[in-house]
Amino acid sequence: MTKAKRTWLAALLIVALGTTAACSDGGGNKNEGQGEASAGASQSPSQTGGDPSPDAQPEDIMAKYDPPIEISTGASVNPTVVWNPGESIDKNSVYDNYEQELGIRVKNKWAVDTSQYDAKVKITIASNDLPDFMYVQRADLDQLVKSDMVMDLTELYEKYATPETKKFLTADGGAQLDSAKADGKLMAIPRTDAPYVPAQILYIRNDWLKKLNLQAPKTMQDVLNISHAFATMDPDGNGKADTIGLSLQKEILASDSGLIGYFSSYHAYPGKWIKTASGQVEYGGIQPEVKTALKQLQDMFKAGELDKEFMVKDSSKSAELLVSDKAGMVYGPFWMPSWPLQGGAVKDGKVVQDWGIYAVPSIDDKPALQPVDLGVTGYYVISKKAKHPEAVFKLLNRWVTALTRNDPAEDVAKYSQGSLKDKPQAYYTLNPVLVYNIGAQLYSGEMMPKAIKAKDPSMLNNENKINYENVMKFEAGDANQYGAYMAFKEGGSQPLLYQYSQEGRYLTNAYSGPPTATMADRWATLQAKEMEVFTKIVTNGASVDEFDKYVEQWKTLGGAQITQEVNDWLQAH
Amino acid sequence: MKASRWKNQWPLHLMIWPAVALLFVYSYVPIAGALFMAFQKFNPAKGVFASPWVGLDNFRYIFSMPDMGRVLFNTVYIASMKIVAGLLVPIAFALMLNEVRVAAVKRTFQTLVYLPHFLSWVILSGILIDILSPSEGIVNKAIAGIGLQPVFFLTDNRWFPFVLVTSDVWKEFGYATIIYLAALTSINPALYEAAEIDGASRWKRTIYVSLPGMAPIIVLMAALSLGNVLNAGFEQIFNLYNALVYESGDVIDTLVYRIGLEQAQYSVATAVGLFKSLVSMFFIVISYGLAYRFANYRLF
Repeated sequence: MTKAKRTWLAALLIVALGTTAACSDGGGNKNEGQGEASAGASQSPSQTGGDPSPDAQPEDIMAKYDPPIEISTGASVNPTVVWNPGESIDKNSVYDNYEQELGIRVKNKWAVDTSQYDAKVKITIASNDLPDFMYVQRADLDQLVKSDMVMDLTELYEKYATPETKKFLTADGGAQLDSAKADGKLMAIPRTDAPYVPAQILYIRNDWLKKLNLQAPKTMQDVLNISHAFATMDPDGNGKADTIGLSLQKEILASDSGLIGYFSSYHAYPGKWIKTASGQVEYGGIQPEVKTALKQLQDMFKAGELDKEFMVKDSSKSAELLVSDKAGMVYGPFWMPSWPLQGGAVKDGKVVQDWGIYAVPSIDDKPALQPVDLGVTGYYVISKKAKHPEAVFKLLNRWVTALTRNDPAEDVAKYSQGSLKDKPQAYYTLNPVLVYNIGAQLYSGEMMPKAIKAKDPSMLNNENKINYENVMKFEAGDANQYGAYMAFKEGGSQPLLYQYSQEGRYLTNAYSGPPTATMADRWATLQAKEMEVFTKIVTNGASVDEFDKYVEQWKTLGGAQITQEVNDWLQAH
Repeated sequence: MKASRWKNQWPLHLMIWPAVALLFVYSYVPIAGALFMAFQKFNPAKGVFASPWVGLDNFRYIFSMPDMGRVLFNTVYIASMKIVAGLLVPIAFALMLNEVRVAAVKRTFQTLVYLPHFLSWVILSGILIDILSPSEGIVNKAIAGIGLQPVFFLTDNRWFPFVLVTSDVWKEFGYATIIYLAALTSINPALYEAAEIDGASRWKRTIYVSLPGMAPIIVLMAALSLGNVLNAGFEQIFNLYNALVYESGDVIDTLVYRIGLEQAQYSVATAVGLFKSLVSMFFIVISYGLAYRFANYRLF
């Protein structure tokens, strides 16, 4: 009967479904088991290799895995990378080279766009499914350590980091490496970087100064006068009152088009922790110097020296004012000439805006210090479940070798074969473990002007030889190298960073520990409050006396508690 | 009788089980997980079963946050205005469009008002900042043209909520209009003809034929939208707000974004989500009751 047939068919279908489910389940388990078994097998040789000689030879550290092993990571994909045919973030010359040279097959457990990386990391942590190693932020590291999800690297670091790597990671005296420790145990590899990158520089239109017969600024008072003149004396000569002094964006404490440099002229450091005369560490954003600086900004806003709409503009939107000859002054880091200034300064192969580079001046006779952080941009953690944690150190060692050897270009060329053949930065974009030289800008700042003056690039390291060529191209008439020229010329932005360091004008954030308990609870609220009150005062939406009320509020909303915790932490470390 | 039905139908019952199992594993288990998380101090390594329980601590923390009162008020205020305007505008527009007799014009308008629905708020916020700019924007040029002072739409706390509501309605009303137009086409043409013979004007026909014909759909849309009373629109506000309008624009979702995602406090974010779901459920039950009573509407 047809009915009976149908019944059987249905029953069969269900059984089939059930079996498929069971199969896939069993398959998964089996794979896992195999993975563990093979891992155990391949781990034992390396252990027996390491055990007889505890102080292993440098050659042993970098021994090639045979057969190759696999380690997983999470990749951040830079959207500007253009791949060669057949290449991708999962298969490229950098990954291929590690497999050939070290027997390490890097596998991306996931790969997301750079802008989504941090959110993806948080999801990965929440789902407790870490790749063998990945790059995380400070707060993530803290949580991973508390949740006991990452490996203690103290011994691995001792054993598998080459002396060269150790020297590289502790080049600042050890503070950067110490920041990755919890209870004296090393829980991550810090991505060391130069702390000087966000240091503030004042950029002013020299052609406008000339037109209005003004002198280059020596004091903060000069800066204020220039700002006033730019807003009122028609520096672009078009007969309309359409110019302002200082350009700003809505994130007023951002490093580009922000106010950090401005505040530093008043010895005010919002966003940073500072050591006061009493030896206590206090939050910079509630000090009386901030009030003075805000009062001045309010006056400038009222006088039309600031953009009336800066509070709704993000950094690229506010940059339009600089590009279109509407604003003549801006604070920013050393890379401002490359972006956004070059966009307006270079038109049709000619330099049409003349931007000057100035050290941030002071309101009094004390020099204005530039607040900087520790210089660690993030941390590499290794999952507790990783089978080959030492492989991460091999990758790290290899990268440090490439960075520090006399002729790094050799490595760069080797790793960049295939991928982006003509673009040596492939290596810097794709390498799964990245740490940077903390003195890169200072070195360039010291050496580049000398080399340019002597017309002799032989004294430079390889990275700067490329920079030197770019500057030469600019001097030969290639205006597209404007950014390089402004960064490295005598009196350029990187030489200024070197000058700051020679004059001792860096102020390191006094607190670089993990977020304290109350900070985790309240910091977001306090920051929102700070932004709200500061912006209101600057835009004349509130009297400057509102600042005193804010300071009281800041303390009662958890700020006092946080200050206490910060000082306790500093005392304990 | 019953037994023989079971005998005939048991394979069908058996066949539904895989679907039920899938739904249970992928929809109901996560709900339970989220329920647990809201009452725990969630630790990813331990998972939802072993993380320590903290009772109502997460909820106490949320309501002890200094700006919670302001944030709650803003959320309800902005969301209710959006619900009301989001209901009335498309109904009115659908009725007007329905009266247009030239099919080409009708279609063109329908497509044009539908278009903004496909743009993301990231793009629209850039456009809005430009057209609402006090110095350069076209809106303020028009305002200046009739001799008034420029309005700071995006930085003035009195204006900001209305900018949010207006721009949201502008973006979304084309989508809702389509639903009401569909409801209108399902009205029996005989009713219009009968009304016409009885001497009803166009206006009277709209009031006494079109609107009652649409009523079930209107009630359904209203009932569904009441569940949104705590959804003020994260994407829109996040892209448009700034420090000056935190006072009138900071809503639950932006607050949760700042504490939950930027500071990785998963449990707190889950607790807020649970709170929002409970309030939404409360309103949906109430509105369903009202719909049942006044429009004789039954969902089940």
